[in-house]
Amino acid sequence: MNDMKTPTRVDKSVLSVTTTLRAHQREWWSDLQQRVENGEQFVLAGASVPHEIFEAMDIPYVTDVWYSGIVAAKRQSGYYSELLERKGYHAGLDRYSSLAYAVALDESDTPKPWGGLPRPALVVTMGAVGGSEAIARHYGVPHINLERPIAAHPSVAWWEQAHYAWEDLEESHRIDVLASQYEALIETCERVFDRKLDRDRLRGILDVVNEQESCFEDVRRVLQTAPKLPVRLAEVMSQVMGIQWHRGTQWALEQARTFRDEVRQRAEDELWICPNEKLRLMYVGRGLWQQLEFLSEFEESHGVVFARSNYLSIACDAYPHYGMRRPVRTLAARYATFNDYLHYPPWGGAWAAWEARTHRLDGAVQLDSGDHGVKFILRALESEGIPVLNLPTDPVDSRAWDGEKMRALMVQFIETRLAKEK
Amino acid sequence: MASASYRPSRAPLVVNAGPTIPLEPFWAAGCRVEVVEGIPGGSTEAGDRYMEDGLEVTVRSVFDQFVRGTWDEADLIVLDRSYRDVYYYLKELVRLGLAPGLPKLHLFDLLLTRDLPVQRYNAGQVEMLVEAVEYASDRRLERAELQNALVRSDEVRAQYRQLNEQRRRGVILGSEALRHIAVIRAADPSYQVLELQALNASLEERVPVDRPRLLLVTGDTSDVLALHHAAEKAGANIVAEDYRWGSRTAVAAHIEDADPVAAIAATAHRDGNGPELTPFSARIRWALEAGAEQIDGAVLHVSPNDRVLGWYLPELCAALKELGVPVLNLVEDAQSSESGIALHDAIRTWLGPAMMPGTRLKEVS
Repeated sequence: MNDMKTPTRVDKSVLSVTTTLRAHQREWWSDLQQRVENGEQFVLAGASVPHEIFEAMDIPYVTDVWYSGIVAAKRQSGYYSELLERKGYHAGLDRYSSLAYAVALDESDTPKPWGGLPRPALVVTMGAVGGSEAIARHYGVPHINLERPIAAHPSVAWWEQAHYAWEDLEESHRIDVLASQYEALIETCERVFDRKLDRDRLRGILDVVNEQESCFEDVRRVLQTAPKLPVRLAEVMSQVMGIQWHRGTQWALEQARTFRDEVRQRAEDELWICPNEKLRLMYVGRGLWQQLEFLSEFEESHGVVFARSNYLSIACDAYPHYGMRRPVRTLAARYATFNDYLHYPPWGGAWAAWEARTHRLDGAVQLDSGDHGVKFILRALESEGIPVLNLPTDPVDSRAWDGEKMRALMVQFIETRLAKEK
Repeated sequence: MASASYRPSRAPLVVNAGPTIPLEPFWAAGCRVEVVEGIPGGSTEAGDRYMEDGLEVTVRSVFDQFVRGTWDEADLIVLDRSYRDVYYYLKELVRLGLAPGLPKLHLFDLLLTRDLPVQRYNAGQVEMLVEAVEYASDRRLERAELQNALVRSDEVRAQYRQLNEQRRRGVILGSEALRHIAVIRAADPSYQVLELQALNASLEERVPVDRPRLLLVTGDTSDVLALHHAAEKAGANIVAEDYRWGSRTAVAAHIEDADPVAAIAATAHRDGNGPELTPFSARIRWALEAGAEQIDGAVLHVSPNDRVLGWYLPELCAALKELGVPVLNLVEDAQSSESGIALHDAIRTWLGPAMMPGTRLKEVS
């Protein structure tokens, strides 16, 4: 329990939208808890699930990894990881999406992050990751696990086709089988929540999502082209994901517009987060949600900034899908490969290398979390002349964090490999 | 564990890995068939240059064999979705020009979910598998040939069911049964029927072995044999295991359908097992059924690299205990020699000195 002490943190936020995001999240969460207390039901959903269907049906939903991120940010992940082990779930199991389950299992008086997770009415996941099925069993509620068909004929530069030519990219039979699973999900939602899906509304929500993602594309363009970095990556990651979990709402669209405008303005005003910027790094793989501030620790000492993460870039490249004749199919096309683009070959490496070029990067850091495909990504980056550092830690489990060791590894990487390349 | 070849060497060779791949199309086309599995304790050095250490030993070992060129003589490699990593990685090696000798790769993507509509997609996967076999064998497969393969396959299944019964009687050690299966499992059905008939007849003559009968569930199929050896060394006998090339060979006859492709798809879906099977209730139904009768205890094992089964073990453990089946949970690397000793010690301690054959075990911990 020693990791549950309130940590001392230096707030390096430069955007006003960071404050409005935090306020909105607290307000939304408190509202959700109140609604659930009043008898309303909600869905606990995985990250790669079509949240837009819930939005179109006015069904509240919470994303499991968002809640895991909250647990990690509160530095309670170590406590909850140990609790899972005490309950019989061995230490090698993934914690990224499972901390919500751990919180549900905790019968002690320990204060739960943000007051704890209320009982959902339905659990929906893609690929049965982590404790998703276990949490449904724990609460005795239905669980739907969507199965993603595998792409047998991968197209390397997927990001060039994803927005418009998705029928060719994802193949019709794969889109069809996922769409038929979504139809089954819709039927379940209609039964459990006693309401009907309005497909015109769903179409409208997808249009809003496309517009929101285009704001993110504008932000990415600024980060790629501005002479120096106008905003810290930790702030970008928090902002992007905070908005993504509410995508399709008017709030999310307005927040994304304001975010874009603020970043643009800072670049126009030449307000750089590290005026002494010398080296630009990218961040590959899952976020270091338990230690986001770590990314900015090398600005003053070494002029190092982090300019790119998966989170903004996947929002720009994988989310927007145009062509809404059959909106459920359009959504299915988005998720037919999705996560696999992030790390599996050939996609993960080709995408990372392209991103490194367009962001003018000098190096990369990735969490050595054993993600599939990592070695091919490293190979692709290094063949582009981008050195990569593996940080041996976990995205959310604070027990795996050794700050001194990580700092030493970073300094050695910067002073030896990056300086040499430069 | 490569099985015996039975066809003239000019017959096309199909190599496959994954618990959901139906062998009937290969048999119908007269192919030689090899099943690729992880090599227990084998080096994975060649594959580890490209594949992450955290992946299951079986996956790394199968990948390593392809990278080394062990199966380059094949005409076709078929992998199922539980080997998606191997498929993607090999495709990438081909694209990068790093695996010039690799045969044609085919992905058989049978979706196993019990809750969602996947039948049409699965039938399409069987159609594509048949096309891949036709390409490899350079001939068209008639529906009647597929139908005939199903009939012959059902005869084999009946023999495997008999073998399972003999195992339950305790007349054969689990490791011996697995060795027999490994030798014949991919051979032509007629050959398998003859071999299994002879084996089952010889087992009729045997006196039951006086050992506790155990059920085994493990997360990594490379560990199955090591766990058998550990149990046998501890004085017990594993009579059922959640493993396609063990007790899972004893499946029911094919689902009847006028279209053999539909019959293959529906049957493969019904019989499907392994890490891709959801939901939880379907995943453990087999173990609960197997645990309900003639079992003295269950060994539930996960290796340190396990990422899936561990999520189900507490629930499975509780369900078995509710049935009155004592359970031993093991989280060990079954491949190292040190672990071999630790495993059989753990099983022996659990069995206890007062254990009486044929009765339920008293739980030690």
